[in-house]
Amino acid sequence: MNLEERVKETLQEEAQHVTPPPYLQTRVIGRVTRGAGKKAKKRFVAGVLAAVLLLPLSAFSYQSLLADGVYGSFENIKKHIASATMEGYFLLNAKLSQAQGELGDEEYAAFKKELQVITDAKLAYGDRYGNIDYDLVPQKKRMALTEAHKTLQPYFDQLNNEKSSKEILTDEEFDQYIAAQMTYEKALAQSGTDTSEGPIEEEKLPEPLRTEFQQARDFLDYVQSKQQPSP
Amino acid sequence: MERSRECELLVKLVLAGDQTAYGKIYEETVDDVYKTVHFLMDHKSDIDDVVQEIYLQAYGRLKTFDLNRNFRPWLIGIAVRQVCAYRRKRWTHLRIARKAKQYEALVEEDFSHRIVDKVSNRQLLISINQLSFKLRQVVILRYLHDYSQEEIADSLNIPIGTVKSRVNAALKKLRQSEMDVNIFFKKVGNIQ
Repeated sequence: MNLEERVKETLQEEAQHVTPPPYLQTRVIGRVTRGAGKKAKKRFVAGVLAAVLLLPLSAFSYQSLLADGVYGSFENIKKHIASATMEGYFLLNAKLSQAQGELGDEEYAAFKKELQVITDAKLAYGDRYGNIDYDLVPQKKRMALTEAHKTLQPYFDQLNNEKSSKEILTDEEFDQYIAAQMTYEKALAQSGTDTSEGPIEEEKLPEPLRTEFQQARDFLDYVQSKQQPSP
Repeated sequence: MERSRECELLVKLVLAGDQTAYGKIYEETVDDVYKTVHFLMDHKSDIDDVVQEIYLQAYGRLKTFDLNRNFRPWLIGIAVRQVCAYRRKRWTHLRIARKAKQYEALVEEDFSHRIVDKVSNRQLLISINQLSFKLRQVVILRYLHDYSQEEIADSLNIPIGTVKSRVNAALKKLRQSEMDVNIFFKKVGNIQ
């Protein structure tokens, strides 16, 4: 018998002893259907910041807003981020008032300070949809942003009425969670996705980004499933 | 081929919104997928996770599947890519742990396996396992699943010439390691 036939025979014979365990089907199908049902779920990528990028709305009478404390003014953000809308700005404002109410003055001050780091970066490095390609940000600045994200995440969780990711995840997982969020945003930026157009389409991503993106997204899914109260 | 056509029909059903059809696709294909993953992974404890990931990925990409193509090679292509992704992840995160596990796996292979009278086949299997990942994947597709060279090229997204040269390289390596083993046995025989 020649080598090719023997390879074939050996593999196929060995394969007879390899069978998928029966419980796997329930697990796989369960995860697939669960994932499909949640497709349109909202994701506050960096919490309230994403809320700035929403639907257009006609002009509104100007008044002093908490959001101005973060962005300067709506005119200012509009200069940098094309898809920013008045409605989004008001939503952000609402979130901020909620934050002020829930967090207390001192915590709110700390929260705003960290938030400022990120919004400044958004204005400086973000694309027209407000997403930052972290690959293009200088190393030092990126570290500062990562830190800011880490400090802010528990606040965002609180504002989103979710369990604090910092508490339910291990330290290592939490770091990975922040990294996954940044990768997600990076993918959005590099693909030039308009966030207001709905969820990102994987096919539009350039090939080298995809695996990274998928891993980030899977991890975000994982965290989200952990945050949801068990049924 | 007939079995395969059935899959394409099921894909249409899933795309039309029939969720139970995906369960049928799973039943139809899981054997092939599971075996592929089994032969491509160094440590078997994570197979379940990777298989799960494969079906999740496949589901997400179902709408990009060209219904004129064969479903199985498409799915196996995803499977191979997922194993690749998994290996990459492992490699960066847990290099050391992986090494340790590899030894464990080897020990398992040696002792816990059923007794096979075909010693040379066993030896061949070990040699296949020792092939590089690139060579191993074409060997698995070609000889375990009986894929044509065109189908392999399609699955792995590589030119057909590359498939041919990899199959040849793999066979050459296997032949070589067989010879080495024979020489080893002869030497042992001489000592006795």
